[in-house]
Amino acid sequence: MKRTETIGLCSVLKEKNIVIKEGFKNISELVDFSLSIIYSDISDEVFKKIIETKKEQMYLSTVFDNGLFIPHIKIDLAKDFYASLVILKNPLILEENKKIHICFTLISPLNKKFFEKHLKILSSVASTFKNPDDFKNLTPLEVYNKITQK
Amino acid sequence: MKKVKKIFILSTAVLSFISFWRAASIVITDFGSSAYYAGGIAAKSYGPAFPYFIFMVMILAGFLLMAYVESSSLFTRGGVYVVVKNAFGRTLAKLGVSSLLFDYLLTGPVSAVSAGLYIAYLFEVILPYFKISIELSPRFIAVIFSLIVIFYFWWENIKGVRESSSKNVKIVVFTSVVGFLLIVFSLYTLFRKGFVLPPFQISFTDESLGWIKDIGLNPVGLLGIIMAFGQSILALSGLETLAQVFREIEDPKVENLKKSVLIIFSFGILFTGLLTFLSAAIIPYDKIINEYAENLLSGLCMELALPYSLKIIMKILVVISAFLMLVGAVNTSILGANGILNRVAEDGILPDKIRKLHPKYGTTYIIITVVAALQSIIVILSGGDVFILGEAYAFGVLWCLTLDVLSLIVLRIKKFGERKWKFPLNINIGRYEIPVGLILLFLVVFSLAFVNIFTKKIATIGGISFSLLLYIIFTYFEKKEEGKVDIHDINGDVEDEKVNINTEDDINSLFKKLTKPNKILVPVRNPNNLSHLKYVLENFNDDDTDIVVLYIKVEKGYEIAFNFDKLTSDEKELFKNVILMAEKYGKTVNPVIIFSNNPFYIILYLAVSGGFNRICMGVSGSLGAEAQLENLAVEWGFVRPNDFNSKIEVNIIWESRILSYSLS
Repeated sequence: MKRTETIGLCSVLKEKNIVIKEGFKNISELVDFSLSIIYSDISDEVFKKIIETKKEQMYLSTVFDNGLFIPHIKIDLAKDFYASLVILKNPLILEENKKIHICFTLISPLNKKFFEKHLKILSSVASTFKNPDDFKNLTPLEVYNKITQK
Repeated sequence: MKKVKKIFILSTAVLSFISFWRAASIVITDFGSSAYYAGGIAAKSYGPAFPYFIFMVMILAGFLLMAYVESSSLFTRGGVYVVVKNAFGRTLAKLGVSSLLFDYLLTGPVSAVSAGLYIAYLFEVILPYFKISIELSPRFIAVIFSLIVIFYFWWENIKGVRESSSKNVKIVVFTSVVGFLLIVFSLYTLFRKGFVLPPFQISFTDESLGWIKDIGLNPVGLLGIIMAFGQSILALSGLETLAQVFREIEDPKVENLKKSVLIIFSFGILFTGLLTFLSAAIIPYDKIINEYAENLLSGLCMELALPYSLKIIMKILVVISAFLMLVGAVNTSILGANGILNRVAEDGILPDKIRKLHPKYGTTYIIITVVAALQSIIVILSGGDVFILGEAYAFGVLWCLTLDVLSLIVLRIKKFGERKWKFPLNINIGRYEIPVGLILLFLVVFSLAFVNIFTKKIATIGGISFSLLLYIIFTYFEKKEEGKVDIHDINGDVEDEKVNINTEDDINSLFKKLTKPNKILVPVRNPNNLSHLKYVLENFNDDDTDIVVLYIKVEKGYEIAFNFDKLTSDEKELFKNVILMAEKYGKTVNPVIIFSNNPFYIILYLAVSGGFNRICMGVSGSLGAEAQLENLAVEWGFVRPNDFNSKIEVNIIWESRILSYSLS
């Protein structure tokens, strides 16, 4: 059994992929936007596959009580991990009074050897954004630095 | 850490299992109790040859115990009803249970009266020293004593106070010490007086001949031996207790059961068999008949070649051991009758109303009261005459055992189930296996049961009348209840679990009970998907591992039901299956129900705060194993304390696959 260690989100999240924004009407708009941030990092082939087969799955990802939303997929064409972070200045209000403050989008390779790292990243995302309010008034650089310190 | 959601622990019905030694002690307090009265009754019934037949009964008991090992290895919750039902169906099973109940109703009175007589005869010897005289006959004292004892255990059972098995162990240890002293002093006495084998002489009384006298048969030769053997069967009580206690035996169950059987058999041979034999060798037969028939082992004490004061001390010790063993047998009989009547009520052949629970104590008070009342009536009708009770006894035991052994033969022929142990002496001819040993055993018990029909008038009339009456009652209610109860439920053998509902104040009160170095959390949901629990029970030792089986009842709001009755049938089925599986492996599990709206969070929260080092989950049909781990991974990010420096292994288990991940 391999031992899990905390993983730095900076290893998968580039500073340029951190965006602070508001005005999303719904989850699909938010997910589409977060994917568009990653677009420049991935090949057209991977992006096409995501749009064609996995986007709906991402819309259905869980929104946690603290306002964290982690749309994530595993895709066989992906050779590496790709991520984007959208911090919503004003939360996106959903049904049953759920709110999204932070959207962390993760694309992972569909490969057994990457699965453990995929899980570690998910843990790290939840741990890092346990309190979304801590990131509310920061610039993308400040957010990146804060994540780096974690 | 995220604020803890509201958590309720509805139930912690800790399932714990007992060692082979404890299991043996429970059976011995019933099985061994006949040592105090069987010899005396048999002596009066058919003459000086009684010790040989009591010895033979003990040897027969050994074979029957072996048959119980085979049936227990087939059915974790076995006993006559289940075994006969699977072999022949419900009609014979009902008859078997009816006759068994007849004996349970008699075991209590015969044991209580016998204990009363031992005490009364002790009074006769001791009270004059204190210048106290009681003008009451021993039988009257025995009746009063018996009614008090039955009342006491009626009330204890109404309150649901279950005698602990550790108490049984103490009683058996004490009795064994007394028995050992008796054997040593008896051998010393024989050494002093000289040893002469008791004569192998059979002389039946008119009562013990029964209808044989009217038929005109001469009770000599093989018939005489079978008749005397049959009259001695009253030494055979408590075997059914072994089947009932098997579910509580710890892992490895069948191996431990075999050890229990060896202990029970040894006790029977040495305590009941040998002491009866020594009594017959030391006490002149006339004296047994005239003075000690109702308290044979007390009589043995008084005939030992010891100073008088030491004889009295031994007599007191014997009376104390008789009191403890016989009174324990009274309780066992009430418990046994209650258990059987519950079982048949659950199976739809008695109205479910009789299982109505006591509003305060939650026990089946109607059944307990009926059993205790019938036992009290039997005591009063007997007038404290242990011979009448002995005469009536053994109808049910023999016919039950006959049906039981025959059922085992039929189940062998049907190739029913997998046995971890088989009664020996099996001959293979081609594809067929002939259970010669079981067939021989059947022939022995059947011939005894058959001959007893003619010799034991009271037992035959009482047993048949009672069994038929009960059978008619069962059949009447079976028809009436049809449609209300699923009487053909494949799990009909298994009673509804009476789960103790102990609401814990907080989660820490549960954790305080978990003291073993390893702790495994086993979340369960689907009653038909417990392969992960099976994996845990097969691969981990409960000696050093606390196994907590966690059911999370998902509640959206905080309107939470605290009533176990409000659980769905699936949820009850789930707990029943968990308990059955734990019983099958004989390993202790702690079933817990928690209400929450976030199962993954609760699992991890409990794992961290309870110091668990492993979580074993079944695969979720809706999510799949990988998505389960993803959910756990995210929740781990929320739950993981900053100072957490341990690790928790997570196993998701389905079919023969395991997906593992380590949380740290």
